[in-house]
Parts: sequence; C-alpha cells; structure tokens
Amino acid sequence: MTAPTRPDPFGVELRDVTLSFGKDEKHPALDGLSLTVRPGTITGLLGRNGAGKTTALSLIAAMRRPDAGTVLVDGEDPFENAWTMAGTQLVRESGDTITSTKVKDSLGYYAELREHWDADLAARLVDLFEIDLRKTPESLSRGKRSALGAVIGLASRAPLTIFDEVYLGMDAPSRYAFYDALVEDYTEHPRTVVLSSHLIDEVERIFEDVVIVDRGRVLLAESVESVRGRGVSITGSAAVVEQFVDGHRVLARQRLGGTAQVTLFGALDDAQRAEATAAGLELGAVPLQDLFVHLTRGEQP
Amino acid sequence: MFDGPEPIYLQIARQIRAEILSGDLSEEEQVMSTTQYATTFRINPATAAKAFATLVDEGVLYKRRGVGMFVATGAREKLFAEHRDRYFAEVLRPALDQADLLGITPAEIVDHVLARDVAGSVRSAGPAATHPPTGETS
Amino acid sequence: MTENLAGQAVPVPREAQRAAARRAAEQRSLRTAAWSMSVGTWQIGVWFWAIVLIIAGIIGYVEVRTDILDGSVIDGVVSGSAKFFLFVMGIITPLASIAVHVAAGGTRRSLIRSTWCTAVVLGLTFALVAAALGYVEWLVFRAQGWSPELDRAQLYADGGQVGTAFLVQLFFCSVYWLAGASIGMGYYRLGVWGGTFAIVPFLLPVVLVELAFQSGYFGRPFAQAVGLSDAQVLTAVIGGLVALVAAAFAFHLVTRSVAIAPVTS
Repeated sequence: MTAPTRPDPFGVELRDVTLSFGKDEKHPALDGLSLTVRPGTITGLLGRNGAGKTTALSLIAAMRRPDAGTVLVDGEDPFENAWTMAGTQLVRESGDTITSTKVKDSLGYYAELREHWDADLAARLVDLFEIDLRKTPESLSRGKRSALGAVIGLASRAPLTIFDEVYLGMDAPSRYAFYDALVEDYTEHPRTVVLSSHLIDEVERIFEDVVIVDRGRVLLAESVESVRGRGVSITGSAAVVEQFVDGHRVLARQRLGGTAQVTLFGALDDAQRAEATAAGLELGAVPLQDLFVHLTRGEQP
Repeated sequence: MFDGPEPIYLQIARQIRAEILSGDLSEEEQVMSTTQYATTFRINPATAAKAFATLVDEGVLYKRRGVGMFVATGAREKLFAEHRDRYFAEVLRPALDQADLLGITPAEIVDHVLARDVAGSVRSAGPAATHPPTGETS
Repeated sequence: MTENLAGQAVPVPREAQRAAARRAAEQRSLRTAAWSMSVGTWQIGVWFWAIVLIIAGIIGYVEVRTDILDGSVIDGVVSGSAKFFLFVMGIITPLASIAVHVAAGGTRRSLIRSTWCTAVVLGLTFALVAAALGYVEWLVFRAQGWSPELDRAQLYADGGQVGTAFLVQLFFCSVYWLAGASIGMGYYRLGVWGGTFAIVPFLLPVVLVELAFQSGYFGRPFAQAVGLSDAQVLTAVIGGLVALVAAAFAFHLVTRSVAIAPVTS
C-alpha cells in the first residue's frame, strides 16, 4: 500500500435545513438554515446558546439527519458516508470519549480510526495541557476535558475539523495555548476549520469567514473583514446624531446628557462619511463581539 | 495589537511599511513568513498573506520563490516619496482647510511655521535621520 | 467519442480513489471496533471466568464433603451464567463505543458489522472455554468415579461431548450478546418507554435459541410445552442460525440511523 495522501480540505454546504426535536415544530432547532463553509478557511460559527450551532454541526458530522433540506460535505451527503465521515472531525464540548475507561483508550480509538492521526502532536499537546492519560475522562476536570477535546481535534488532522465550543471550559492560558497550537498546525497542515462560540474577542482574528446564527437561521455570513466594516458607531450631539441616523438600521442607542452614541448596521459610503464628519460627528468601529450581541439580542424591532 | 477599525491586513501592511521607513527592516532583508506572522500574532494566515500581497503589489516587498518575502531595493526611498506626497494631501490640506474656516490667514501660518522652525532647527539633520511621519506609526 | 476513449485509457482517478478510501475507512473502523469490543469484554470476562471457577470449586468442594455430588458442577454454573454475562456486556459495550466510534469518523454500518463480528468472536471464545472446562471436569469426575452427568437434560449428556457442548454455548453466547446490544441501543434510540417496549421483540431471538437448544433453566420446559423436546442437533443448529440472523438484523434496524448525542460526563 502506498502512503496515504491527505485529501484536500472539505467544503460544507447546508441548504434550507430544518430540524425539530420531538414534537416542538413551532420552535425548530434549525429553521430553513443555509450556509456555506469555504474549503481551507477557518470559519467562525457564532450564535447564542441554543441558536442551533451544535445541531447544524451535528448534521455536518453525520451525527443525525435533518428533517428537510440538503447537507453536503465535500459535495456529498455525509450521513453514513464513509468518505466524508472519515474526513470530518467534530469535537463537541469535551470531545466524545469512552467515559468509563482510561483517556489513553479513547485517544487510542481515535488514533486507530483516524488515518492521518499525528501521535507526536497528540503527545506534545497532552503534555502541554497536562492531561493525565491514566485517568478516565469523567474524572478529569472540565478544563482538562476541554483540552482533551482540543487534542483530539488537532491530532486528527481531518480535512474538516470542527470545534464546537471546545475551549469554553478551559482557563485563559490553556485557551491561548489552544489558539496558538491551532494556528500553527493549520498553517503547516491546511484544512477546513470551523470554530463555534459565543465568545468572540479572543478568536476573531483567527477567522477568515464568519457565520452568525440566530434562532435556527443564518443572520450573516461573510468574510471577517467585511463584517468588521458592517457596524459603525456615531457619536455627537444628540439632535445631530438622530437626524443623521434617520433611515438607517439602528442596532443600539446610548445617551449621556446631550451626547448620543448610536450603532448602525451597514457600512457608510464615502459621501455619508464626509457628511457625518462635516456635521461634527465622530465615526467609530464596532467590535465584532458588540455587533454580534446587538444582532442577536432578544426580540428585534 | 490590531484593535482598530481598519482591516487587520492593512494594519499589518502599515506596520511593515513603518519598519522599513524607520530602518528596522533594511532593503533586501527577509521579512517574517506568513506562518511566522500568523503564529506570532495569532491571526489567520490568509490575513497575513493578504498584507504581503498588498505590499508586493506596491513594490515594497518581492517574493523569492521557495525562500520567502524580501524588502525590495528602493522600497524605502519609494515609501518616503509616497509619504511626503501624502503629507501634503492628507495632513496639511485638512489643517489649511480648518484654518480657512477659522479665518487664520496664510501669513499667520507662515509666521507660526517660521517661528517653530527656528526653535526646532537643531533637530533638522536631513531626510535620512527623520522618523516616519507621525500618521504612519501605529 | 474521443472523450470516451480517453476515459477508458486513463481510469477516472478521483472516484476510484474515493471508492478505495471508503473501503479502507470501513475496514479500519470495523477492525478497530471489533477489536476494542472483544478485548473490552474479555478484560472483564477474565474476572467472570475466575469468579465462576471459584464458585464452582466451592460448590463442588461442599458437595463432595457432604456427599451430595450427583453430576456436573461446571455445567450448571457455566450455562447458567456465561450467556447472561454476555447479555449484560452486550447491553453496555456497543453503547459505550458508538459515540466515540462515529465521532472518530466510523459509520454506524461499520459499528453494526463489528458488533456482529464481536458476537461471533465472543461466542467462539466463551464456548471454547466453557466446553474445555466441562471436558476437564468430565475427565476429573471420571477418574474419581463420580457421576459426570448433567443434572439438567440438554442436547448432550455429559461434558465428554465437547463438540456439542461447544456448539450449544456458541449459539447461546452469540445470540444473547446481540440481543443485549439491541436492547441497549433500543433505550439509546427510543428513550425509557420506547426502549422498554422494544425489549419484547428484541428478546424473540433469545426465545428461539432457547427453544432450539433447550438450556437447562427454561429452554427445556419451554421446548416441552410446545412439543419440541425431541429436537436433534441439526434442527437445533438451524433454529440457532435463524435466531442469530434475527438478532443481528434487529441490531441493524435499531442502530443504522440512530442519532448520536454528545457524550457528557
């Protein structure tokens, strides 16, 4: 047998995907969700808890099937598909393990099944995160279990690697160690990476694309650079600000005495910028985290 | 780092330009690779690559196949020329517009400039020792 | 036309490669799961056999000392418990493996097949141990002049009939393991109520194999009740095969499209 060559990074496409749990069809987990993940990118899947992130990712990794709609991984339906499943690594929270036996056994299982498993990398990361291989997964702390998930995801070297809120359980130093390991391994071994989270500040710069999901639907899907240009904050005298923002989509309003700050959705063109500056208004950027919070907050007007 | 409203790749490009202007990066010197940039600053490698592509387009960097990115000969001179042009367009012009608005006459401005120049004449030692325009430092 | 000719000269590499990769992935996951489940069951199985032997030893010792020994001790302990041990392990083992198996990129299909393989491997190995122990006991009893007869009538009269003893245990162990696996997966897939109701159909292969092979405790009276008490080995094997296929198919049905919930601990 010749040495296995690593397949090219997988792309993902979901079209009008619907999925309800149980009989609650009024509040489907996925409500006509459509999204695309470009092969070879690091894509951030952002959404509040319960927005449908985990469910969508479960479909991609063939953990379940949708009620309706199309799921494509590398151009194929992933359910019970030996090709796409062997090339997709979903790590859910702390990773799926055999809870009752040693951590070593679970890692061994992944090592056997994953064709491109890097045992050296796994060993280095286990050292880095100080995971005790002789313990059972259930006896590890939450942080260590999350770190174990990170090890599984990185060492699998799958053409499509998905981390579903993996780093939430880790403390800050471990999270940064994970980001560093991810960026380093990704640059050396390009593949498609999807990171889902609702904590954005720390990971924003790692993303190339961003998909924001809310209540089972996609709100926004574009490159992170254009998302960063999507929001604009306008500060100035309240009356002037209000006059300027009339007709724009307002995400948030703050007032302090006679001064108002309004966050708008949608980039301003050069003429509008000039107009704002001429009117003595101050324009500012809106961090992705803030934009995300505004877009997904409660009931929208 | 990289917190402003500007796209990150533009910030990286600006930073490399500043390093060339200040002499921290000399001509024909190799710059960090995309991978090094990505891992050092914990950013997406595509973002770093985009910054490099911008600088290659500008003729500031050039690529040696299989080796990496290098600062082009004449890059510093070129950046100086560009920044000097931009100084008039982007820094002085708005200041003069503002002066018009406030009714400050050209004579007053010239007087002010000349007075400052006398005070600061000790420092002027030619373009080679000048630091990049303040607008360029990050 | 020219395209067709060119296509024949150079085989489409992408699809061929993918087909080969699919086969390789399926084989790898089948092998891994079957090995992991067989070894996992045997790791506990070693303790099972040790305990069974100790209990048989104690019973035998007491019976000899009190002079009430009237037949095989091993047979009672083994046929009474090996298949139940495997039934319980069958409930636990595939269930413990499925999430990690699918998360590691294995298909449910390969897990189903590996569970079938494991059923046969465990059936063969457990039956071998059971038959060997029965045979050794039979030799010892004969040497001591004790009666080696089985106290519950089966298809074989004593442990000297190693082949038949092996065959009986093989079918019992394999079918019980698979029935356990279906019941475990039934709860995983259908929840508490659905899983409980599903026990009834999942136990049908067990009923069938008991009828066919007439184990001591309930198979024999059961077979007599339906007029099958005089069944021969050949009929038994046919019945056992039907039971085995039914149990394997039931596990396939309940597992083939099961949704995999995240492992939480």
